[in-house]
Amino acid sequence: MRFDQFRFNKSPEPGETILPVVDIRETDQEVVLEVDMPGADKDSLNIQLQGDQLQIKGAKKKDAMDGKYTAVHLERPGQAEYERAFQINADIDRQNIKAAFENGVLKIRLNRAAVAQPQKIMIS
Amino acid sequence: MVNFPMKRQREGAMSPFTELDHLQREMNRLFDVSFPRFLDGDTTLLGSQWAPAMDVYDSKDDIVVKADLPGLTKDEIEINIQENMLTIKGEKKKATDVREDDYVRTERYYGTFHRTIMLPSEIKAEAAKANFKNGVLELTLPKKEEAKPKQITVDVK
Repeated sequence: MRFDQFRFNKSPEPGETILPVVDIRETDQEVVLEVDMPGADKDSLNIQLQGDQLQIKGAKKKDAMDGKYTAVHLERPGQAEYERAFQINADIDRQNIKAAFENGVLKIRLNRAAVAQPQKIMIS
Repeated sequence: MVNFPMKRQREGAMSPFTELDHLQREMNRLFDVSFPRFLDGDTTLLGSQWAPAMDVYDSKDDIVVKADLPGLTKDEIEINIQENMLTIKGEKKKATDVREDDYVRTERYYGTFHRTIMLPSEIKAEAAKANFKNGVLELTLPKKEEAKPKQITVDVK
């Protein structure tokens, strides 16, 4: 046998939790997370921001195959839960978080909170 | 748990698994028997090559193949069938409107991929159907008539 590339989301046991892989990029305006969750149902996605912790969850159902099929080769996860949490140390606009799920990728945009302008206080 | 913002460490952000890569090479050297998934011995952790995870289901009429291809669009996937060999290839590109330097963490795979598998029997390539949903490619490949199992009734005299 040959060992595969290291990947978080490879062939877990049925019903296991998958730690999905993520790309994070930051600009002065926003923080963008892209999380691979192939096969997840859009309706199962749950994104929660509690305090500084952003939690992402999603479920992948077991493939419902007709009884006439026999599996001859299986590598993909069966029934699985995607779950990952992030600690956010940036000042973000909590009311304006956008998320989209496209082609099995969950994309979350966190806008940085508008930086308070330094205020000059006049001495009378 | 991932903390961010984090310090911009190019090296750290791009290749957090150098040690594992080394271990992987060692293990591959020890267990040097090829699997179709691992197309060449040069596939490494830090290399750009990756191969999608695939499932194959067989029935008497058709074969169903599923592949996890998150982040790809259907136009970026190329499917070829030659006799009973199925090839799925394509390229996963990074978004062009973002700056490479903005990435503080990259765990997802980019670049070209290529995977060929042998199907359990010959199929009618012209009748193949493909569906791409939620990052999962699903192919339904009807078998050739001559490849289907046949029932023969023998008259006993």
